[in-house]
Amino acid sequence: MNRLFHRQMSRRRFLLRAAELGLATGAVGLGIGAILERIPRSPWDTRAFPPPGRATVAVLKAASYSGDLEQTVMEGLRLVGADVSGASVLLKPNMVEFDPSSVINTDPRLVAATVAVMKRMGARLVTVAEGPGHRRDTQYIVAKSGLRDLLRDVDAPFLDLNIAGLTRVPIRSNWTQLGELWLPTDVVEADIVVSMPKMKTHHWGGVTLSLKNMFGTVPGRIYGWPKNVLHFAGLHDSILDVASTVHPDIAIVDGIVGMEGDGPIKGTAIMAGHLVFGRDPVAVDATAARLMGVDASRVDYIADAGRFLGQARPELIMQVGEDPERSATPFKLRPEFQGLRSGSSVQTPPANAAGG
Amino acid sequence: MPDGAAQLLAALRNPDGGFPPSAGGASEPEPTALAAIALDDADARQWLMDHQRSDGGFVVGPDKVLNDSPTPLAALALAPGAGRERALDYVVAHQAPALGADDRIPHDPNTRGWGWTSMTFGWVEPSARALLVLKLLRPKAEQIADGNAVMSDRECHGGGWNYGNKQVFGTLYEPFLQTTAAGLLSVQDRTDGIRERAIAVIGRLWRAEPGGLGLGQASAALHAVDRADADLDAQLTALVTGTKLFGDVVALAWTVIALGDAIDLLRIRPA
Repeated sequence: MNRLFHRQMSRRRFLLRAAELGLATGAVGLGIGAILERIPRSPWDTRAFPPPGRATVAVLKAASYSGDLEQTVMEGLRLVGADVSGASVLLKPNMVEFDPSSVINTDPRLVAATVAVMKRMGARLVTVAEGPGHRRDTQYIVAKSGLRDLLRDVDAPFLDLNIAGLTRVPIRSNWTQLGELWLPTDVVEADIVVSMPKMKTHHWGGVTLSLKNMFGTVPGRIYGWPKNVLHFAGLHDSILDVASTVHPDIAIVDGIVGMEGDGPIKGTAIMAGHLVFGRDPVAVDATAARLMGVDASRVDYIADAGRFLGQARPELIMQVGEDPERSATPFKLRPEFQGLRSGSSVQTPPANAAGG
Repeated sequence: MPDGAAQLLAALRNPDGGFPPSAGGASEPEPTALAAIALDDADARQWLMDHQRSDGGFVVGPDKVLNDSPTPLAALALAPGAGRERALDYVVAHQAPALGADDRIPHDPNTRGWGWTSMTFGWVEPSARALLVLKLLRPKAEQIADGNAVMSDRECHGGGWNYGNKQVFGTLYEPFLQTTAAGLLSVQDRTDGIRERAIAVIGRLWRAEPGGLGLGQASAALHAVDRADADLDAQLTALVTGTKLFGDVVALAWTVIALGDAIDLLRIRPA
């Protein structure tokens, strides 16, 4: 079995089979559902999620979005053993909304460079896709951010996940009790999903990286703007359920310029100077958090993701490239998140937001 | 009307008579309702009648997440009759629950509004569309007072609206073009300044937010209050011609509504 075949089977077939199973079990009836709801369930099935193994994460210096960004991306993907040959690849940047005076978004130049690299690595199809969480007018964001022009240059389509066709899939873990998600069919059917977050603080969750970035795959026309159902179900629990279901195959964190303080929208730019690569999104987020001066074990959703979804323990993550401790640029944190700082004894509040 | 905008929209109709959010998708209530209004389309209305739930609502979503926010638009799209009345009954009976006071997101905890989905917070766009349709079709509904209060409570400093609150964690949030347009449609009858502030915000924002959905809805809002902006309409027309609005049915429908006869259906008449 070649790697692509294995990769397609492990991702596409699981989600599509899960979708079929979800429809079948949905037809069994509400009576059984009501009984099941009364039985306490583990947040995840240990048969579906074996204990996380070792992971490799690459941290590479990148001083700016100009210069040979493609070479850096190529090197990062090579170091973590990413293989996209023959695959359909869906790149999911963070374009939650746009402000020309801020650094909310994954830089479009990094997105375009990654498209070019994926093509050079033999990807069959590369699509850039996002379902902005704050704005319905996706085309405004794509145009004003410059992403549309850059994608034209690298001949890649953009897909608005808020209005794309949908497939109903059961959630692979049980943190929220939502049971199922309607996800864009293009996300479900992609051979490889690449989470490309901006390295940012988050005023409800502490930090937002490749796991939280998967909220953008959930369509607003079902879940509302700003994906309010997920906030009502609990930010921590929803991050885990969405990430376990979509499960990005590769993560690339835009930490060249990040956002500190009152992120993910109203924070300020901070020069962090790094890109983070990996095939385990939990390990990537744990490493990126360290680069931000944050103890990932204190970020509840990363810590819990490390129990089933990927590797969060530094001693089990092989770091290649730069050392994340020595390369760290401590991001300013909101006062209630000071407890996330490495070595801090301050308690942090639970992540949640029903309104806002 | 941009050349072919209505034809572009009509061409996106599904064989079942309904309209998808984007080309090739399954028919859904919101794009179908807007297309029915924009095109005065009997097939789309029939699709809506066929998909109205027994409780009067129009929903999309998995079983535990019922997005019922298209219901007001469907009520407006339906012809006068029992179906429309049942949809309006649903709207007045399904406001969002009040959310308790929270210093992090200061808002009036006595207001409710309408959410995107059942049992979640009342947000600007679904609240604005419910308020608009109640004012148009059930002007004596007591929920109108709450809807007006929500729009006042959420108004950004200086006017207009974003998707939610005007302030989070002590930081003021700015208005967006598209949500301000939705809000203006709902407060077009008010004389307390909120309408004029929204018009001014649209005038300030539309050149900076050149997306089809925002421009289409902004054009509709300005036409509804008889303050159409020829430059905005020209930019919208150029965008339709150049991009076909990327097949976004909701954006196309708002454009056709804005620049066609259907805009008259969205004008709130003095009592």
